[in-house]
Amino acid sequence: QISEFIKAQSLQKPQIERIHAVFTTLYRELNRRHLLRHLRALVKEHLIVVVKLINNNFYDYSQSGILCLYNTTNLFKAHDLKDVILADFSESNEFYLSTLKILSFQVILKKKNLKMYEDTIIQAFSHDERYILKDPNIKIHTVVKLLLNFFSILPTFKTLFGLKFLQYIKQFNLSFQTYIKNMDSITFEKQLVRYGSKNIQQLKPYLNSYYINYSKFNSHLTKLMLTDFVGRDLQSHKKTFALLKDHKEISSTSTECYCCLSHSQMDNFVISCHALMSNNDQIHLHTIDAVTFGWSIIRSENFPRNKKMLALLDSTLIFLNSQMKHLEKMQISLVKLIKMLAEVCMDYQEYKRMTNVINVSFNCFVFFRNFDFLKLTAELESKHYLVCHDKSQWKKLIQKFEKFIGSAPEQYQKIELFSYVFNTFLLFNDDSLSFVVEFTETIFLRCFSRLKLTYFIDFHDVSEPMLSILYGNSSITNIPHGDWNNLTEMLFFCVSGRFEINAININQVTTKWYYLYKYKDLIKSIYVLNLDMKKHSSSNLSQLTSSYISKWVQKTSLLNEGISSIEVTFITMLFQYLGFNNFNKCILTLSAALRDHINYFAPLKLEISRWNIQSSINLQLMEQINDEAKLLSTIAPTYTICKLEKLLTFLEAKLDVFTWTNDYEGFQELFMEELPSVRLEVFDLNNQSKMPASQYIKVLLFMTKLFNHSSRLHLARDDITASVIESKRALKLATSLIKKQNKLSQSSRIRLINLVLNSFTQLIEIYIRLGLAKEADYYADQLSKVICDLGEPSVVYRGLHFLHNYYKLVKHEALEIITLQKANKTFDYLDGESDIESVLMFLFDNSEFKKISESLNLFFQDDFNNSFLPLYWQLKMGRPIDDSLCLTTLKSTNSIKKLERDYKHVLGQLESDPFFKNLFESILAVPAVTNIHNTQSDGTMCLMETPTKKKLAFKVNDSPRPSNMTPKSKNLKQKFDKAVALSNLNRIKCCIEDLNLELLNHGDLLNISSLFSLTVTMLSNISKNALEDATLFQRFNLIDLPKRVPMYYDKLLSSIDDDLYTDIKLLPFSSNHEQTRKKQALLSLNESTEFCGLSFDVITIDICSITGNLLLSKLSATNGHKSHLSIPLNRANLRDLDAYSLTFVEAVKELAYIIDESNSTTSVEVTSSIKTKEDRKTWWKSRYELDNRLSSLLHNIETSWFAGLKGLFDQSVVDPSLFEEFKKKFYGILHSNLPSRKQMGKPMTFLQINDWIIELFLKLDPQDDEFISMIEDMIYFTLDILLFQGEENAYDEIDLSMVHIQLEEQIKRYHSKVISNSHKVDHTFLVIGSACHTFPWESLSFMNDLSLSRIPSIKWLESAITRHYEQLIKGVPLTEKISMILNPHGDLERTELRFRETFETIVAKRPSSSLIVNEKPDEEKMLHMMSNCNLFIYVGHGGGEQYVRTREIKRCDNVGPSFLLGCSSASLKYYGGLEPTGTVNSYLLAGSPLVLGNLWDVTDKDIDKFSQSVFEKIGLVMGEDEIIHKRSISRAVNESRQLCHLKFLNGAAPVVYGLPLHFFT
Amino acid sequence: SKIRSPLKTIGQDTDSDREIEYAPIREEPLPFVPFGYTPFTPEDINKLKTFHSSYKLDSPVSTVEDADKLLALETIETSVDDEAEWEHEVRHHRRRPTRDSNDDSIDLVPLYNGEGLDEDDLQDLLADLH
Repeated sequence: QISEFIKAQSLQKPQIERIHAVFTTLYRELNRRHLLRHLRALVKEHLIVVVKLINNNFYDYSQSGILCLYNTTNLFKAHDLKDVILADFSESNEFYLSTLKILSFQVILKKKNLKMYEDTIIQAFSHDERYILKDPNIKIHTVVKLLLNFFSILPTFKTLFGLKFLQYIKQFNLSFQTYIKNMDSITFEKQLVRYGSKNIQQLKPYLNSYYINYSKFNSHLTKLMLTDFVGRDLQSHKKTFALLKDHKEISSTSTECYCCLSHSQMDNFVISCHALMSNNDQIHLHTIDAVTFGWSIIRSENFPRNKKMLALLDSTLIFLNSQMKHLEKMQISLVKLIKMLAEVCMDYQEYKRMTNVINVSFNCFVFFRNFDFLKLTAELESKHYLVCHDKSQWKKLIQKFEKFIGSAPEQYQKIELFSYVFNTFLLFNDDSLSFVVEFTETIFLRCFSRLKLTYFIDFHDVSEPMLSILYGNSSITNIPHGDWNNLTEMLFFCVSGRFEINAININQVTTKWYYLYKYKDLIKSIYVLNLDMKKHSSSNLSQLTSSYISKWVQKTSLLNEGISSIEVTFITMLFQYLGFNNFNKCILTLSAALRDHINYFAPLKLEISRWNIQSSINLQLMEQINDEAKLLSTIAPTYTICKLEKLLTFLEAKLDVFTWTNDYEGFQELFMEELPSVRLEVFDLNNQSKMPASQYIKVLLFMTKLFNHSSRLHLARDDITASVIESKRALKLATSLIKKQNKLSQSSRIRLINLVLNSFTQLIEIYIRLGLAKEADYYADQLSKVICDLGEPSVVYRGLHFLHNYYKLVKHEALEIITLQKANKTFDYLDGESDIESVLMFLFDNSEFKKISESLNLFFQDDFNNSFLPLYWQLKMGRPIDDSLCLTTLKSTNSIKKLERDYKHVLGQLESDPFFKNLFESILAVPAVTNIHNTQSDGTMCLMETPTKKKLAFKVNDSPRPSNMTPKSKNLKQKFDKAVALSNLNRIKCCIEDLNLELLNHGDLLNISSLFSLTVTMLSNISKNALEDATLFQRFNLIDLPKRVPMYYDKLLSSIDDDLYTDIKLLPFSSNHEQTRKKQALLSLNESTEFCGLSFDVITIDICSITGNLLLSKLSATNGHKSHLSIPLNRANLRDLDAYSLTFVEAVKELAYIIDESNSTTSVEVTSSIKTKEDRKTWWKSRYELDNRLSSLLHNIETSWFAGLKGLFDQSVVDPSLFEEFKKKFYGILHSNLPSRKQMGKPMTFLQINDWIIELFLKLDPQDDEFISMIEDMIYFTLDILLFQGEENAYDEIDLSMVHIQLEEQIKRYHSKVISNSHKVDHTFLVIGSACHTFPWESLSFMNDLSLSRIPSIKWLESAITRHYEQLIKGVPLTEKISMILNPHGDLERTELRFRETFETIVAKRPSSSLIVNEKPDEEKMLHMMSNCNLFIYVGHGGGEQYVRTREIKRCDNVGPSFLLGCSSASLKYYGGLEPTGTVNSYLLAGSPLVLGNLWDVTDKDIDKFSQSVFEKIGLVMGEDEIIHKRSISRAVNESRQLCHLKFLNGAAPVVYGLPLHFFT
Repeated sequence: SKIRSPLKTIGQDTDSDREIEYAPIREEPLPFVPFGYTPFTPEDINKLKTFHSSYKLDSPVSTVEDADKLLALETIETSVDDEAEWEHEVRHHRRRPTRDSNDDSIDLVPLYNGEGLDEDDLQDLLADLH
């Protein structure tokens, strides 16, 4: 429409009005859309239209056009052309103002109302430097023409215009003739003099100013002189100055007596002005007016500036500022004076002094609380900023306005002041996004929040992008963002975080005519990222990243502006969210793209490097990590001066590098020496340095990560205590940060989520490494609570993966399955293409192992060999990798995997042999045979000659009599190469012996312990030469390690709690010799186990995790003999299909069933409903059935599992001479019955079974009902030994019953000869594997009359014996210090009745004893009672865990022998791969030598009977019949079981832990 | 399950008058909480769940202690190139030849009759509007 208008030949009014409306709307729209650059184009079009209007004599319309153009592009509006002519050149108008002024002059001329503008024109030319010539591109020719028009039309002022004309001719070296044809300049000058003298009175006020400017450019001698005009009467003015001094009354008319002052007169004038302000005491009403008048004169005289005048200006300001309290009544004059001073400053471009004028104006407001002053102050401040063009001052401007707005009393005033600083005019010259954003954000922070707005206001002259950023940051809700352009709306949603449900369609075509159009791809990326984050999804993430790179990053070189803070935040968020979702490859691509355009992205250099390092580490790209680490140190900021955020980013990258390279020295040097002395606020946990909230959170987040990494570095040095402390502190910091902050920004939130996840998993992993279940389980439960409805798929998935593997380890089947199901469901929300880590976890958890290497290949493509990840996962899938490529932290795992591979290889070899195939289906013994070959010193085997046969080496005797079953001549080379198998087994054995046990975690220890045991068992059964004793001892050591290491740390860690959180500082990496010495001692058992003359055996009972066999190992303290048995549970069934067989799982289920049923029958719901006799009868019936079931279970265990091997537990010692006799007979029987030996050679020339196995025959009791099956079991065991040693016999060819009868006869003969109470072993300690703890082994019939007790580990025994040596020998005095707790809960009346009196007499009679009856003890009291007492008796529910926390018990050191006679007091909670936990362990850790407790719940009457009997048998109390011979606790318990009515359901529950102590009174 | 029949049964029918035995109600042990560990509350987890834009600026820390404090005047050194005195340009006669005062006024040619600029001037004005 505009171009049509311009082209139109003729113009009609409606057409003009319409075009005027078009311009008005266009201006508003362009301003609204912040298209400030397009405003310039529009202004040009508008000027053309104005010119057209002028040419068509539509002067009124052109005037309104001029005003419309001016007012839409300037903050301070013009009411008429005067304001335009006297407008100052500023940022928003300097490109057109001179033209507009010229057109204004033209319109004034054309409208013939020059008279009205006379003063304005003269004033404009008087200060032409300020009002006209400020624009260097001014069209001076047109100005001169206009000047000459004024010269003609305003005759009175011809002289002034003439002087100005002459000035310009010289100033712009124009030629005089082009303008005046009919005279020369001299004549013209004469004319001026003539006109001058005629109108001197009207000219005088301006003459000096015009003359000064004229003479500046006309210094030739014949130039006009001022005196030509004013003549001589200059001097006469002296007296008039007095007027000024007495400032009687100053009226405007008196101005002319102060005009055309000479230099000296100006001197005096200035001095008198000074004088005015010097006599402070009598400041008259008119003083201010006088000063104002003075300055108006100075201004109109327009002398060039000099020190005097500036000094006067300063003193005027100082005068006003210091005398303000006396000027109360002169406020109106004061406003005028301030405005005058401001004009003077503008004239002379004294912008610094202008600030002082503004300050004086503000101070006036502070004194007089008159808002006019504040408004004036604001106006002047904006004008000052606009005019002086110094963009670097914008922050100061805003700070000033913060003060002004802050001091305005009313809200409407604040809003008015706010509009002076928040408008597009201040942004006219820099419309880069970075400036618009930074400007608006500072305005929000400093000024907007002071308005305390609660509703939306649409400020005028403000663009939509500015509104979106301003209101985006506020919490005001009714924002009409709906009618904004969709790009601005996106920006608003991103900044505010409040996403509307009807999300914007980002592909909707946006108009080019929009400010943000240029940044559309950036804004869309920001929007999509924030929307994805809001929805906690990552579905668009990778596509967003690639489109951001292609559409924006690669085009940034075209933008010639700096990066905006919005984009910096966006990139930091993008990196963070990519990291949060493990999009590591996307991160590397993004950082590469940013680095290609580094000068635009320079502020992010550190950020890029940090994320590059983290992703390279996550993807384990070895070289890339080193390169990045080197690059990092080149861009390190100087710690002392750089911004905190920058420093923290750098430090995070350094942390990753230190941990990856395990460089704790570097860590210590940077974080404990260098930084604390230079930047303390990095460690300022309590914000003593008063950091703003956003910085303080960043410090806390960083500190959490710092402690996590410190923990990992300590762990790598095997400093467990330090590692646990630092890890707990990290978790503490993370949780306290959440509690401190009521709202978390997205960046802090996702970082915190990761830190919480890492803190939990790291802490749990440490406890798993130690085998400690209590803390691990607690934190696992806490972790699942946090992640279960966290709603962040990537973190939830990783959490569930972790928990799934945890519950698999602790064999919590239900949770193992649930976590996998949930994990698989969560996995659907992940982007498999980008998040390789989760894909690998998913495939691993769902055992799709083949796909793992496929997806690794797909993901890495040509980077495959640079990453260690494929090797890491190969190792994780159990396949060892090349040691030279292996990371140090995984070296031990790698060697274990190699051992497992070698072992499987040997198994594979055995597989090919008919006999060895099911080696583990026979009973296997270590040692099995006696060594008939003595090895020579150099370890080579020497072959012993036998009388009949020359060589008896590997060759096996051919049986003389061919039998259809026994293979005739056996080819020596069996199906499998025995020598190779043996050498493999030996290599595995030696490798395990060389392993550095210190670095192994609990799982590894369990693995190598069972691997070593299997290897040794196979060696002992295949190889001829017996194993050295050291190997057998190492086997015990390895069995014991996984038990004692957890206990050692459980105790060690229980004492770290005291100052854990008081003074949180990084722990140094000192080498703690004491701890390393203790760890060394921990890793080894001392050889000699003979102690205080007490002869005892240690027998370990466990189930092999690989073969499922029952493992019994015996270490007899008397002769140091070490033996081991691997017993298949279903061996009888293998031999005879209808023989009974009971698997371990069935036994566990049956026992659990019996216990649950027993608990339910004794539950209060059942017992309380038993009223009638009939009820009682059925109740008892159900109890008896359960009792029978338990007894049958034990019976079946005894017959099918132990059978002939019961003898291992027998404590009687075989008579040596009688044994020799029996042995001879034994070999005779073999010799006569075995085809492999019949009638050939002498018995002793054949393979010799190890004596301890033969002794087992003698331990069988022919009267036993099961004797037949037992002897059969032993015979097969013997035959198997021979078989595996190469002496093969076809079993069905042997007359077993004959062997059976002959052996029985010899056994009977032995028993008849041996003296009944021959020497016995005093006691047997049982070390029970965690899987079979609940079984009441002590109640197996063959153990009934043995002295037995359980111990947690052999190492515990070692230290217990040394510590309680005296009590073991002399026994425990019951004469004093007996602590007793009876029926604390109050519901065991019958029990209380039974024991109250006894216990009360004890307390009465025995000093420092104590008793609590029918009252709940507090924790403190109970801890005291159980410590330093001779005997602690607790008769109540459970083990007292409801009164004292096990954590507190463990911290004690001298808990006495304890009887915990409550239900399930000795039960241990099974945790699969971790050690079981329970109250008993805490008492033992707390130094108690002995704990008596119950494996499951028992009923009161039966257990009271049992307790009474134990008390009597140990001599605590006197029974009816005097007990002469006091029993040790273990015997007392065994004997007292029988007293229970339900011998098994109640009788089998009590077990003894610890030393078999005696008591004495 | 495959349990062999027990060898001997205990307990007779006549036990109907035997007192039933009582197993006390299981009491929950004191909860295990590691020293100094503060568990997560539902509010904590909610904070971890809720999205807040990272663009939101912190609540502004007011740098202006008290708005009504007076503004001090800056002392400004006058720059060295400012003249000390008023510039003395020559403004008085040195016995210049007196002008013949009777020249009557001559109008200028061309006569600038108040029409100001012509169309060319105006067009030229717009020519290189930068």
